[in-house]
This record gives sequence, C-alpha cells and structure tokens, in this order.
Amino acid sequence: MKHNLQIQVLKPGLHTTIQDQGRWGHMAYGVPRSGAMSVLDAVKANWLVGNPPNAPVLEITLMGPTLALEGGGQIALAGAPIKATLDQQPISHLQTVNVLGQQTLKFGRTKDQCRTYLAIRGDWKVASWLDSVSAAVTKPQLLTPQSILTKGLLWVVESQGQLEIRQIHGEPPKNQKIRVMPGPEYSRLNVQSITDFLTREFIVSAQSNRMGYRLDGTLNNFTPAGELISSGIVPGTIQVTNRGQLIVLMADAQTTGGYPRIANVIAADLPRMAQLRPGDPLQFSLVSLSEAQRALSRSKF
Amino acid sequence: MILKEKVLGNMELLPFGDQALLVNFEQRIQVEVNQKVMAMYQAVKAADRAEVTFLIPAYCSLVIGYNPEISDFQHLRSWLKELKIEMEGSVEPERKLKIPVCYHLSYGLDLKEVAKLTGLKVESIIDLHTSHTFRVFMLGFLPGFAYMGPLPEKLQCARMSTPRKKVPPGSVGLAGNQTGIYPDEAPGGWRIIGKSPLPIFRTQGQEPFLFQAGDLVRFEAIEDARFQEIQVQCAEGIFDWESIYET
Repeated sequence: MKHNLQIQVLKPGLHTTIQDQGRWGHMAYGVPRSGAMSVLDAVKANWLVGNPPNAPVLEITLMGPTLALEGGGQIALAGAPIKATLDQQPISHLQTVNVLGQQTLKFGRTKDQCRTYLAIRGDWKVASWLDSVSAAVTKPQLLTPQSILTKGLLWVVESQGQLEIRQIHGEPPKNQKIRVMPGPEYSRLNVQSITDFLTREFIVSAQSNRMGYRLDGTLNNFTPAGELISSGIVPGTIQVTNRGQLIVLMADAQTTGGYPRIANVIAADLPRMAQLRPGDPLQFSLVSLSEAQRALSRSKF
Repeated sequence: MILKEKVLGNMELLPFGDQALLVNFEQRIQVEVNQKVMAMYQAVKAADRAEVTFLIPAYCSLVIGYNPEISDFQHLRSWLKELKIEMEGSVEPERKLKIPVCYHLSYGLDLKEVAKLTGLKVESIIDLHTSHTFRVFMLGFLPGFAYMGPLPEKLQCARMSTPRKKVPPGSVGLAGNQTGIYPDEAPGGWRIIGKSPLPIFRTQGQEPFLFQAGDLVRFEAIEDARFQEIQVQCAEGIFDWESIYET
C-alpha cells in the first residue's frame, strides 16, 4: 500500500537543513562536499525506517523545529538526544515511530550533543542540485530552495508499505580524544606548537558552523610558515591560521585553502567531532594510518 | 607513457587523512607543473575506478579521495605509481575562451588604486590584461571561481589589506600573480579592475561552471553598451555562447 506523508514547517528551529551524503563529484569545481555532518547518525536514522544510507534526513542543530505531519508513515531519530513530542507524547530516540493522520511533531533542545537526525521512510520529493539534496552553501534559496527549513515550507515523502519497528541500543557518548593523523604540513610546526596541539584542552568557539570549527586560543610559540600555494582540503582537515588558531574544516568547507594543514581528523572520529557544541572541550591524539583504518572498521554501524 | 619521475617530476604521494591521498608535485606556480597535475587528474578520472570518491586538482597538487571500505592508501598508491598517463592522448585538449570584460571605472572599483600601485596608466593596465593568455590553474574558494595566471610582472600587486565585505558578481580581480572572476557576490581582497557580463556560475540550464582547470583564457575589452547588451542576451537565453570559444 502506498503512503504519503506531508510535512509542513510551523517553526524552522535554529538551523534545520535537509542533507544526504553530499555532492562529492564536483569538488574539482570548487563545490563544497556538504551532506550530513555526522554521516554515521544519518545512516542510523535511515536504517531505522528502512531507507538507503544516502537517503535525505533532516539535520537539526541545537534547537529543533515544529512540524505539522499529515498522512501516514514512519519516522526515526538518531544522533543528539533531543526532547521530541508527537501530539505532546514523548517519542523514543533510536526507534521506528509510526505516524498517522494529522499530528504535530515538536522538538526542543538537543542534549549533550549538537545534531539530531530525523529520517522519514520513503522517497523525499525535494529538489536536488548536482546529484544531492543537501542545502547548497552558496545561493541555497535558488539552488536547493527546499533544503533550508523556513516557516511554511512543505514537502511530501512517498513510501511503499510499512516496516516492522526497529531499534538501536544507544551508547552514551564517550569523552575520548579526537584522533588525528599528521597532515602534509605537520612537520612545519616547531616542538612547542606540536606539544601544545597534542596536550592542550581546546574549546570549540562560538564561531563554529557547518563550514568549520574554530577552536579558542592559539598554539604555543607558533611561528607562521607564510602563505602556501593553495591546495585541496577535505572535511576533517585541521588548518592553522597565521596567528596560530586552529580551524577544523567540516562538511560545508571550501575545497581549497592556503593555510598549513597540520592534521586530519580520522574518519571514525568525524561524527564525534560533528556532535561537539560551541563551548565543548576537546583534545587531540595522534594515530597512524593503520590505527585509523582499524578504528574505522570498528566504528561501523 | 609510464608514470616516471621524468614525466611527472618530483611527485610525492602522502596520506591525507584515512579517506584521501595527496599528490604533491613540485611546489611552484608554473604552467608545466600544473599541466602534470591536470594530466594525472584526467587519467584518474578516465580510469573511473569505483574506490575513487572525489578529486581536487590545484596549482601543484591533486587530492584523491577514496572509499576506505573498498580500498586503502597502499593500494591506491601502488595503482597510481603504475598508472599509465598518456600525456598526449588521454589529456583533453585545452579549451580556449575569450571573455568580455568592461574596464570602466564604475566596474573597475580599484583601477585607480592599481594604477597607483603599479605606476601604470589605466590604459596600460587594460592593454596588459587583454594582451596575455592566462591559464586556469585551479577552481576553488567559491563554486566556479577560477584562479588564472601567471600575471605579467608589471601588473602584480598585493591583495587589499582589508578585504571588501561584498564584491559584486562578475568582478575581475588581481591578486599577486593571479587574476580571477568572482562567480558570485562574496567578500574578497582581490583588486577589482573590471567586470564581465557573463554568468560564471550558472544556476540553470547548461553546465553550471563556465571554467574548468586547464582552460586558456583571454580577456577582451568591451564598452558599457556591449556589456549591457550581453547581460540582457544572457538573461533572455539568447546569448551566443559558441562565440566565446576560440578554435
């Protein structure tokens, strides 16, 4: 049986966007990759409703939206725990939830982490640009008008049949260090700067968003290496500015840059990085490529 | 031709996190070095391997993303080392583009400042900018933003110490030995000497990006009347795009 679920935005929340896994094929033209900041959590949410891993999800940041649902379907939440109610009844995290008729889905603030992912079973009828529905970084209103939530926005998700309820047992977030591999310009740092980078507790600054996380403070005894010839950067690349400030590049980052790239966050730890909020502390630890590969195979969902 | 030191120069293959590999060529801004980058970029693209997830060619480097579930750095490195690069055959011939630019003072917001900095007359600046063929070394910063060069030495000047908050789309700027066109309104510190009526970043129809790395570009000075005319033609979809490609 065919179900249609119509979603209308009553309140958009702080910064709510539609994301899939991004537009990887156009980075050579300077187009940011975009996509879910925590791909792992987006994949979990999609699994709970039986969608493919790359299906669109709603990425909710810190303060969630209020949505009017009409029709029938199945939804699920993953990522940051959040206060969420369906017609004032609290709904479970990490579990398939059935919706039917006219209902109001209301979100509050996220707890402990930054981003919650809402998956909806079926085929999202939203416009894509360059093979992805993820909100574009430049000209989003023109290129992906449905992917940044605004009041009144409406879209439909079509699905075939119902899925048995699925569940994932959540683990409390581990407060471990963010593991990095040395970047191409790592060796340009002096001993004091390296020691500082690997021992200090940094704080995520308020100037952090989907493009990058700026960390508070500057590296001890940092001596600028001068501007480099622009070269590729990827989500997870850690740049150091001329005054020694660290920037961890994230999903919406530019594709090239001229600051020294001192490290790259390993793939297994990018979801944890994406879940840090402004004000959260973090520490880095250095790992080898083979450790990074082992960590990734262990972090599989 | 086999990928040999002789062909690609001093090429270094480095891990770039655990999902990408960085190929560093000789670290200098030079046409010959960039041709090597583009040859490798084209060869990797043409091989169309499932594990390659993205490519970022730049002045003298190439980032190759891979899917760590089906490949790893060691595999990719040995494949790249054996990759046959047909420097002649597989490389697409460089396209030649002629880009109209109006160098009026109303568009060339920094023309007078550039004249002061370089000691050149405004006419000489325009002459120099339109008499050279520039290479698109890479795209970056914004979708479709082409870094072109090298600029003749006489035209070189440093970026603005305080960048503009908003540079109008289509603005043609100078920065060090580079020149470029802003595809979109954006903050920027390049010194603006003119404006092109062509949409550089196209949001509908045709290919979204006017430039690609490796293009050869010549600028053509136009009067304001022609600028207005082209702008209208582009908006109405009747501009003859073929006219900008030289054979």
